[in-house]
Amino acid sequence: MESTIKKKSLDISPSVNNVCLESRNIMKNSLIPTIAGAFALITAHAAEIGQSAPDFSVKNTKGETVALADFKDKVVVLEWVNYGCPFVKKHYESGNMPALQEKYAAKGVVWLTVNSSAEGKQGYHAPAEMAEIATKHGNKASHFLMDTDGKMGKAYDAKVTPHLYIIHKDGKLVYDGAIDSNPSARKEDVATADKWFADALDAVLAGKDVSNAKTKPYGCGVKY
Amino acid sequence: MMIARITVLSAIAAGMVLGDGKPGTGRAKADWLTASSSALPGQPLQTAIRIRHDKHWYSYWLNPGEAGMPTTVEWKLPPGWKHGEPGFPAPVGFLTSGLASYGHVGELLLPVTITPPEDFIGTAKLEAEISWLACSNDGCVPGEAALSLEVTAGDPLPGPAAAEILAAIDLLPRPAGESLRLSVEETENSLVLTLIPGKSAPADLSQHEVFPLTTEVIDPKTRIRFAPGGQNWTATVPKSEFAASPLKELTLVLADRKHPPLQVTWNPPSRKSH
Repeated sequence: MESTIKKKSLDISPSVNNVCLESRNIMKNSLIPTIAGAFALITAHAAEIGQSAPDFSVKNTKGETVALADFKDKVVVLEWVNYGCPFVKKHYESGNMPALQEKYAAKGVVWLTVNSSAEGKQGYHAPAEMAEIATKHGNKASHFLMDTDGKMGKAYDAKVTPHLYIIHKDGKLVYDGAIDSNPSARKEDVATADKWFADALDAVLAGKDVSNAKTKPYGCGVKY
Repeated sequence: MMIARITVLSAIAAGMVLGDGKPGTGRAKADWLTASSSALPGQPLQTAIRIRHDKHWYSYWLNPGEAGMPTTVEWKLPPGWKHGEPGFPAPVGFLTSGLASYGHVGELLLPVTITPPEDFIGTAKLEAEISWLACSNDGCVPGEAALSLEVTAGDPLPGPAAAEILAAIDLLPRPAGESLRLSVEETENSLVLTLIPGKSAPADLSQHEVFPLTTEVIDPKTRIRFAPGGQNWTATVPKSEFAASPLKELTLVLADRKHPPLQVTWNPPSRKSH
């Protein structure tokens, strides 16, 4: 696995012009932290459908500690966010994400929005500022978590923003993937996409099995 | 005299603000080039959409990999005009934010043929909209541009972009046809790929970079390389965690950066009842 990633990092192909070659070198240099992140990801216990969801204990934007153990017998949604990402904007500016947060809060679901951007990386903001930005975007989550060290994100293998997970009342992970079926950045595509995440959550709340438990999430890479 | 009357509209600033507060512009500019500003009725005209990426920024290939979004074109041609599919050269592989992607940097030309109707007279204004997602290590910004091209009925005359477009066509993958056949054997977590050389197959396939054009079949983190195995070439690769089993299709692009890339497609043998 290690060697695959090392090899891949060099697989920025010799290319057809100098611009590419130059870019290739830049990319190579900038890959070092990325590779370190990838190794950390491998050693962490990865979240798997049907298994117990990895525990976490993370501070919210108010400085309070929030742990999965706090929500026994509740359905918990995890939503990775980065308000600089066009795919996140799609679902906030269209009102889709806040509407889902509101709808499912009314049904007793605990919704945790998570920001795993490391300090200094795109999308990181100090907690108070982050809370303001989230409010400005209409975020209605139960808590906004500051996973600045990325431990929670890596435990779940959160790849992109938005990336959504559903944890059943019994603590098992029952959904891991995309918000919907259309990997575009256009707001107008929200209405016509298949609602993979919402369908999964409706099934969980209705006591049914999730038929499409793992889907390919789309969005921007999490800035660990 | 305008040899090629091309209206160039630079990327529309999408009004995006990145997390760090910098204004976004799509981080690339797009325009539409034509080999000739005149064309005969019913005769295909060679054009190309050009995307010039800002330094350190890239847009995505048809298979974007683990994240990202392929570049798309929405055509707004006058009645009777036809377009081909824009051709993409072999991509380059990236690993950013731990995600493996396929994309393009620098200047990218997407050759596409446009065919006037049989009753074409006078001058026509062709329009299209291109949308892309530009990403760098710092983030992603969507971009779009309105493209337009004026074409006059008449004998084609090579314009200033003709040579550049021809060069871009040379970089497009072409079907390997009889020269190379792909077979795929599927196991639970991996795929055994076999290339069976035919007439005028490349002598050495071990140096080719291999890119899956079909999405969500091969894990994009995989560096695919073929090794000799008897008369054939083989590679064993991990399946994408999102692969739907049994597989229905796999198209690979093989590029050695010296010759035009080759494209091979596998479909499962049809199951005939005995």
